[in-house]
Amino acid sequence: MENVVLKGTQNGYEINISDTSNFDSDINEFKNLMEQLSSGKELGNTKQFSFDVFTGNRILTGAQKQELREIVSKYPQMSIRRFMADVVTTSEAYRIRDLNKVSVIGKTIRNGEEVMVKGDVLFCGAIHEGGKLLAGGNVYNLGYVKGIVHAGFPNDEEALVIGNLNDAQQVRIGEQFDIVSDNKDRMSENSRTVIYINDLHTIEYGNLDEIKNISPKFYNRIGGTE
Amino acid sequence: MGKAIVITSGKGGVGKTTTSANIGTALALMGKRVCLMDLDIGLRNLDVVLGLDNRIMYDIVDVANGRVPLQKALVKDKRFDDNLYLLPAAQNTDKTALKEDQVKEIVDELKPQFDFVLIDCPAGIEQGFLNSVAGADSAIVVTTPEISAVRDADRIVGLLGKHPLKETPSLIINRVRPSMMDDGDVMDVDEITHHLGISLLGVVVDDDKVITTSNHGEPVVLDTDDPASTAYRNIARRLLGETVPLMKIKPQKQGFWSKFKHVFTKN
Repeated sequence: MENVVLKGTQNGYEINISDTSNFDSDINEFKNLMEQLSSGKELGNTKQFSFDVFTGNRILTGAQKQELREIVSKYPQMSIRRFMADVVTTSEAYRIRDLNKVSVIGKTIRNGEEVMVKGDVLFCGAIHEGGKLLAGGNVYNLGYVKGIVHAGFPNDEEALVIGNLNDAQQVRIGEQFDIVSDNKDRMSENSRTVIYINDLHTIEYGNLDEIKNISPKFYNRIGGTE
Repeated sequence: MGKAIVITSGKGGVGKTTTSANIGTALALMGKRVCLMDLDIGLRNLDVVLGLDNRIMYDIVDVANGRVPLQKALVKDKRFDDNLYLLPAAQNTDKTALKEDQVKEIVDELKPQFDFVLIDCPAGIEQGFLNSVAGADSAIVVTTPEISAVRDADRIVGLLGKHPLKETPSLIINRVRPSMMDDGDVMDVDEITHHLGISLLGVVVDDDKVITTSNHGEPVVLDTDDPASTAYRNIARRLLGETVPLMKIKPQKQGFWSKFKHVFTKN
């Protein structure tokens, strides 16, 4: 009958709610547990008691989470830190996948066309003048860019654009932009140019050789070590 | 308070955009503050002719929908101090993205800030044309000496007559080839002006340099020696109220050798 259990873990307290039981009866058990905890015996001297709610192979809906929060809110010394489960919804799974995948795009983006991609882009096609490629993450260019490349769309300033963009009209990262023809001299002729946003929030041109300093985060992600 | 002038033609490819860019540049060179407005939404070109295409951040549709303030969408042409600005058209939508009253509102906001607002009208007589004339005080009708262009110009003059602007429209005859006019192969300047029944603002000769300069993003008026350039400058001066006589259009005299060649090619 123990479907709602309090556990102590490395990261603090956690209340496990079984994923096989009826949620209504879980609610009652949860209420009892709260009551029991607030009476003070188990908690000892702890003044503030916050815990995670872990639901195994079950995902709580917004309403169910709200129900639990309302129960907890009756006890001022208690709070729910976060809800956790071993599973995610398919839509969330797709979102995460899209966020972290590298899409390979080989098409021609013509004048007036806009291609929007959620994650990183490995671009092998051509962007004509007036065409626009918008990527949520980084853009790695192996193609021919004469239009506009926007990485980190709409506002991720940690995104990078890597590759030869000497003939592009504009490079945009997050909310910053740069007109390439004004800065031709700052670009190297090869495809090892890294375009990023510096500490002053302006677009800066660097080289892949300096990637460790430009973006330690990216350097670690691609397998660079200390 | 500035004046809003729409540059229109009905027919495509007669040189509306080139005319807009060159008159605008000429006026800016004379120290007037000019805003060029591109209303050819979906097929914008004015930015390319002016060499400003890689500086566009926002466009007229962004302004009309309240996404950005007008000042943010204006692209400044650095070559002319603070005199020449471009309000670019959107490229990822079509003419129906704007309504007449939205354009009128933008033109009314621009007029106090500039001496001239030149509106580059798209070809056709649909929404794009209606948008372009909505905020204008006067119109310049551009035509070439071809019958089809004159026909379309006639239609435009008629439409402008039905919904009159503050001033009557005036005419620019573009791409005139003096030799053909001289030989009577095409309608001549007087014929066209008389046929359309509006005042003649200027005549521009057909000139290869107009194309080469456009391709480099530099309007031909920046070249002082060119005949087409002089014609555009004269048009600008007439717009400022000066009385400038029409240039003589002289056919190029045929030299001995070209006459010689002509004899052979005829056979």
